[in-house]
Amino acid sequence: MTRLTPHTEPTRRRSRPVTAVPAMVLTAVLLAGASSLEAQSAFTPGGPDDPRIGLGAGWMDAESASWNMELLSFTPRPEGFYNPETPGDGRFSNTDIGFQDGLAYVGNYHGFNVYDITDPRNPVLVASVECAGGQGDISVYGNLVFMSAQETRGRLDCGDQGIEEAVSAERFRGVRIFDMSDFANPVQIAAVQTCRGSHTHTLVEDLNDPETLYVYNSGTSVARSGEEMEGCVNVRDPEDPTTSYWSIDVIRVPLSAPQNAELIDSPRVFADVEEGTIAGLWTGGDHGEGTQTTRDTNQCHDITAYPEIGLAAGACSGNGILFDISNPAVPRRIHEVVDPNFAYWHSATFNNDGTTVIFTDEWGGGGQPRCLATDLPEWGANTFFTVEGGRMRHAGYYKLPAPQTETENCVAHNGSLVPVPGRDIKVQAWYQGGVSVFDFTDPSNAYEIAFFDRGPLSDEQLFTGGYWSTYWHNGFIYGSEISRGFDVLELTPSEHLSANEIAAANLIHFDEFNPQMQPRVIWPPEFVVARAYFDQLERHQGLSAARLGEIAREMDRIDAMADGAAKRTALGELATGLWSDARRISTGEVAGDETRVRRLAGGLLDVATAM
Amino acid sequence: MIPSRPHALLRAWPLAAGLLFISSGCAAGPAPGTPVSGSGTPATATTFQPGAPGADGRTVATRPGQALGLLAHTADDVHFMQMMIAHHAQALEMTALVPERSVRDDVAMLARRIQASQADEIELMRRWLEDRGEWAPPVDLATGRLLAGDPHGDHGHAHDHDGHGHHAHHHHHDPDPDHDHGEPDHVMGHDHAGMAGMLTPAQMESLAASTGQEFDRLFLEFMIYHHEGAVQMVHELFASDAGGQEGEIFGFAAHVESDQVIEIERMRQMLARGS
Repeated sequence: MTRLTPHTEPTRRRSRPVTAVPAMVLTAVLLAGASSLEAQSAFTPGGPDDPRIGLGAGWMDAESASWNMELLSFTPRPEGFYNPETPGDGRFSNTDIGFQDGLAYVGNYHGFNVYDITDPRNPVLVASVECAGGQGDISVYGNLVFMSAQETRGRLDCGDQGIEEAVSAERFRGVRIFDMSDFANPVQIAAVQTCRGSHTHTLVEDLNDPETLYVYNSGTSVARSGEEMEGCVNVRDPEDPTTSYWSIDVIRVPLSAPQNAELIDSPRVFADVEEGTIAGLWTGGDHGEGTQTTRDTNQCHDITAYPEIGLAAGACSGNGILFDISNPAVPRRIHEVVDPNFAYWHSATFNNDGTTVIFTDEWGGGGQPRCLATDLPEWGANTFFTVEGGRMRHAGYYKLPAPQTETENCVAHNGSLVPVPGRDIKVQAWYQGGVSVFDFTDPSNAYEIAFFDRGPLSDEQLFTGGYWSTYWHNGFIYGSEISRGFDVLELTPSEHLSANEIAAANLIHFDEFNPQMQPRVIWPPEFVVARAYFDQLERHQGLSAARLGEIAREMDRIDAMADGAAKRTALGELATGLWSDARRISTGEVAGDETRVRRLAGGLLDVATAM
Repeated sequence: MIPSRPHALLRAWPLAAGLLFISSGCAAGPAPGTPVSGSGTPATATTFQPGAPGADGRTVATRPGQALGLLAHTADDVHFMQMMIAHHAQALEMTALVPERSVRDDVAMLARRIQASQADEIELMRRWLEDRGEWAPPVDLATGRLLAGDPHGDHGHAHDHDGHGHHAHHHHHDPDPDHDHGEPDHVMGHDHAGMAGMLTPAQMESLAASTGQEFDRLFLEFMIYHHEGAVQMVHELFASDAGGQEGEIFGFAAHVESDQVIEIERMRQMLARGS
């Protein structure tokens, strides 16, 4: 068995062709990862030596490469949730993930599966729910599970036989709500129909009313007729004030009686009131010569709510939109942006402070190879905007640096923050481009710090596959692989991310986590948080080497002290010394990184105060 | 298309499962920090299918995915895809005329985009049909011409849009083996019933014969008409009983609809703007 130690050089694993090898070898391949190739030399992510280039293809036996993170376990889709004939059967695609303490709910076009993730090295399937309709975007809240259904084959009764008639009361397109109190008997308690179905949905807590939960629904598909659902108008014409396009849906869920969930509004959030049009935003087309063609804004694709700052970021086809959601029943558009490099605004993530927002561009719709060496690095990428006073200002881009092949669908997709104090870090899925972890503390200079990537599903044919979502949750990174299964990964210390920073991130624990309802992270006053700040100060050479050495020795000394008055005094003195360092930096007396020095001082004082 | 390697591997899964079980029985799993490239086999939990709100659900036997009584594609779906290939092919024929005739940069750029996206979509439709063992009309992507001849002796003429042909919908599902995977007449040009927005041979000729601003105007008018036809075909698919429900075709048809509606709007603006 190959033991890998933390390293900054990439690891590359080569699996042998499985068909011809004896069973014992196969086991060895699966368990030990076969041979492990250390890269010949240091490399630059995306450079010619990037180990993601040239990985061997395979459905379950592709080669893989990792850097500063490690795959802990891989769990194929359960029986009944895959087609053994092909990885390309979209009826069984794994999709999004919602988390509860010790549980991961993995959406699938065919329903969803629940894994016990108490042991990240051995996730255990604890429930399988069949309920077809795609795409199975999923959220979890208490004992409730919310699930999106968009396709015309969706049925109220969760059946997979489709609907014979063009108009039917049996058809379901919208947001389903299940009561999962008993895993052996999941009950569909509500099915909220919408005109365009549900492509994605977002839970939104009302901080002033804990009894009520809201769901923002984003339908992106063809609207149905008024014959099937009263009030629906399948006319894509902004001149028609009744059209089912150019709106989002707001669903209200009374938590004491969730079976009474109902659609309360489909607000015209794209309207230009002065012009008197419901199609007030991007109308589709390019932005001038050499620019991308951007879809028109008649829908949001996904909305990320951050209730604690009263904002939501809407990735709305042709625009990135900032919503004021201080009254979640009435999302109010406060600012919108376009990006000449964007084809389709797909999803959004705030940094923890709410001062930066990331939008992703799903150029090609997710089924196309959009990470070719010839593709522009600003296309199919993330775009960063700073947020100040409710207004967004463009800051930069990040795209998966490693080129992928023509048989790998690849473009920016879903991810979440890795809560390292003092930094903005995101882990993100790139379909068959793998998972990429990047730092965007300075949104104009984002850079990659870790990755894991498998080779293509096939080197002959493009099957839509790869990671739909990769999210950090309570110390691990979970990935839903469209046609391979469910992965658990873990970050390993490196020059880009210290053991202290990882330990500080791992202090953060959420009993429940739906990545599109972003929680605010508040780090507890632990010494390791201050150590993380110190590591960042050192990495950025924020003080002279001599002074850094002094601080490090003093921190070691204090860390070894028993809690008490003496330790508090020592912490206070060290913090005071750092503040005077910061002052000297601000006056230009010495060179240094004032912000990071102050942050370390604050972290030390937090420990003292909490003692 | 069934890739042989993954297929073979999956057959090997049960074997791997047994050995994995033994292995995890003699140790508490891999040591911490040990990478695992594949730790498992498809697990099985009792699969439950909830009922409609207010109704009881049921446990369902776990069946291999390919054996599920899942909604398969329908004859309407196959018909739609075959027709849409022919429809897209004509768009490529139209865009192929642009470089030598257009005097408008915006028309030239639009044509390049239409050419690129519709050629990609033809490939996607071809793959969809072939994956399901259905016949896909072969198209020369450079010219938009439908390539194959007619199995009944006539030559296929992409320009033969006179609508004299007999209705041949779904005859590829005819149990007569002679017809299996044949080339339905309605695709190869004898009959464009159900294909809204197709230009007649006379219209194609007048487009090919025009140049300069006259060409650009005609191109936009005809392409708007052509796109509207595609949108109509999508609406007809969704209005057909059980059509457009299979997941992939649902996504594709919805995509064609939204894309072409936008392009129609763009072309209307370009037309209104004149040169």
